[in-house]
Amino acid sequence: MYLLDAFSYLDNVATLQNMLAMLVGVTVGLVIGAIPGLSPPMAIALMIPISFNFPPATALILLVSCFAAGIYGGSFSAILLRAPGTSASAASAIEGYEMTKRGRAIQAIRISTFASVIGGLISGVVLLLLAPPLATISLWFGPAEYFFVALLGLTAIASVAFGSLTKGLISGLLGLFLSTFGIDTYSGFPRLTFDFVGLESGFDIMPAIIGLFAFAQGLELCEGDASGNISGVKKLSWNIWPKYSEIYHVRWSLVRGWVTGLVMGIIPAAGGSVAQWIAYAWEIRRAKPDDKFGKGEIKGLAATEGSNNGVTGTSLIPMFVLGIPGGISAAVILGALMIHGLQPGMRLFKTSPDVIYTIMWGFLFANVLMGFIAVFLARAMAYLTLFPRGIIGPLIMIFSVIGTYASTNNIYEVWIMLGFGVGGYYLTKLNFVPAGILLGIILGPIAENGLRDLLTVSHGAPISFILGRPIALALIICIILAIYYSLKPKKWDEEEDEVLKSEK
Amino acid sequence: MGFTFKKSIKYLSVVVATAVMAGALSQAALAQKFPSKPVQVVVPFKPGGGADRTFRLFAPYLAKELGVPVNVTNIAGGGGWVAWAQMAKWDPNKDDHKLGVINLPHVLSLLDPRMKRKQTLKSFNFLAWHSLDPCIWAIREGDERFSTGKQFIDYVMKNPNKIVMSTTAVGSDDHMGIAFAEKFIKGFHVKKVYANGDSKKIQEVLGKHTDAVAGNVGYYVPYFMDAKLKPIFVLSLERSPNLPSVPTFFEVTGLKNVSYAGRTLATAPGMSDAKRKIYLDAIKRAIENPEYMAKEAKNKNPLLFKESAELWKTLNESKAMVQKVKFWEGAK
Repeated sequence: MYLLDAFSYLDNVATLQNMLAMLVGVTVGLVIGAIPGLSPPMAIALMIPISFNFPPATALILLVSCFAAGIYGGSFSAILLRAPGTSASAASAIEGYEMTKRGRAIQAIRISTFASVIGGLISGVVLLLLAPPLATISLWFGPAEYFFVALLGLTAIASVAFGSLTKGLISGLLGLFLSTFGIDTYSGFPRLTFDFVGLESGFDIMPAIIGLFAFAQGLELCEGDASGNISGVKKLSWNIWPKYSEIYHVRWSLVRGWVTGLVMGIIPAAGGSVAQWIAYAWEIRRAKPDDKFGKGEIKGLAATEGSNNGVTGTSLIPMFVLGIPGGISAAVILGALMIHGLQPGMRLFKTSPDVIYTIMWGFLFANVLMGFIAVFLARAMAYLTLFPRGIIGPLIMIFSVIGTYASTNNIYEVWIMLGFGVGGYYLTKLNFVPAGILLGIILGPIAENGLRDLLTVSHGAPISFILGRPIALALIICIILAIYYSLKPKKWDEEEDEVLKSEK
Repeated sequence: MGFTFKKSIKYLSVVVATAVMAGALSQAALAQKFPSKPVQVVVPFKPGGGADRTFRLFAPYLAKELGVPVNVTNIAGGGGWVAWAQMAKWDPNKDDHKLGVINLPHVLSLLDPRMKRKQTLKSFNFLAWHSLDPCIWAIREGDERFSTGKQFIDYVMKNPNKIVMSTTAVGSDDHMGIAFAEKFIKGFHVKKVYANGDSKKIQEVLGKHTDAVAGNVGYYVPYFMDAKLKPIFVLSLERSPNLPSVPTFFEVTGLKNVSYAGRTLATAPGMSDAKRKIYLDAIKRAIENPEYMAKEAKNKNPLLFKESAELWKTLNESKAMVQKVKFWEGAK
């Protein structure tokens, strides 16, 4: 039924106007996404007034193209400079930048592009064909499920700590603590602000990411030899087309990343910034003896990059079908829908199928276009890794400050970002885990509100309540497995130990 | 090298002098024309919310009236207070190209004694009321326990603290309506699950995680048209033109439970009357622009222009309501 409907609108998308909208959306998205601090929701919001001049389908194609490309654009700066452009690309900064440091920047971009484009396409196909049935699933997620999704995300801390589990957990707890600052919705009263208005907005994700990753990275580049460059090579290979052997090597990592992204996308408010960490942790737990996680393992990058674009299409499902936007970008797109006179909901599929399916096809095409444009942009950006560290370091710091101010218009947020930057720099030196702090900040509010809501809706009897909820139980099993695999001594470790013993 | 240090100083001084003169000229121009540069509309919430959507729609029409570009700037945080604290301190000369969005009743959290706010309503230079969206309570379509407001209240009275309502945070218009009902209807007690935005609330009630939701007419009309949710009350004294068949809280209970999301525009305190008038006239004409009105009708945002005495009358009514409900008393 949907299938036939969907295909009959394929030709609508292929107008010059729609293609131009896609081109503009993708280009703006890639550029704004790549700049730390300037995020896809902001790019989309800025384009809404422009979109008034177009018919609804074209206008929405412009916005969804910008959304998909924005998420992907964030990966460039994450991989090449360790300065993630969006919150959905923070995890890619870890393995991606390690690859860049080892002179494998182009390989990293190659895999990232492949994982993102194909992930976006799969996600778009799911959006096109399965939106109505999948939207029902997103309604199954209530307080209990959100609480456990957040806990599952938090188990990733054990994986990204790379051996220093205690320091990883301390970092995670620090992040959770920081996430409690600011207005508390249950009392309407600000917590831990010490009557200081700058703390009333709490510690937002964006300044934390820019500080912990980008600014700290800028500081690090400023130490030591200022004339050396990031990649350590003089020339970059320009082979942007992925090799079959490369893809084959990471095939299961890609699949795991895409699946994580598709599933997390359907859950409103979880989205890309959580999916990437779950996918990454999943990879680390499945590591083979010769995998080098934390030191530029391509499998890790394939999974994080696959997951954050796998999210894009499915995260639009609850927005189109139920009018429930899964994130800020989707909320801005929902607003645009309304302004163009399209009321989101199942009715939209009946009253304006031409518009909605044209938008979905537009999303698919935009993902392909994104791949082509990305190749050119990524090449240009990769040159940055050949510049002296003494130039790139300060540039990253300047952009961190400008980006934070531009996206929040709030000078306090700039100070908070600087705090995270300097703190993150020293904590990294002491082997603490910035990713752990970030996970705490992202997941703290989801876990806290989930738990409080759970205690309310279960009328104080959460355990018997959870027993009647299959998804919550499944999530608990995932959490137990995740903890088990994180703590289980790895086989090769034992073998190595035995070898060492026998040598003695 | 023909370019000596002395020469460069000379060039530099010429450049500086030109710049100073240009600056002086533009100062003179400013005295003649106001506004002389782009105007910023400060929205105290993140992009994607109702206020952001409305003022991004409004900006081009206001720009047409003012003759300069109008940009929307989001300064989010503290339930609006990060931006409002700034607006109360705007300088009438330096910040004369800024307009601020102030939401009612949210800004009245300044009455909450726990907050120790220094500001009062008089701290802000309110220009005009822009829109007013009444609160509404809704249940799931097809709920077997209740299908009207009367049945809902009866059910809650018989089963105190068994019904869970989704609402926006303590201090919001949605919460205010519930706090009023709990304070003035004896035996009416519900549990509340709080959110920062409407999408979480709608997901909760549609997914049967909660039983009812408190929101605003404008935002929820699409869900009623989709036959997913069913409105049971409008929290105003008159029925909403968007939902003529839905009774008011007053009709059903005889209690004047009035709550709404109001949006006003303010400018720097102490701004000169001449400049103030330019903004006020432009806002009035922009709100009454038929093209803009048609767009807001699609956006389901009910516009309402009020100025001076009328504006302050509504502000004071809103304040009296908050003082009566004292929403902070119920919050832990």
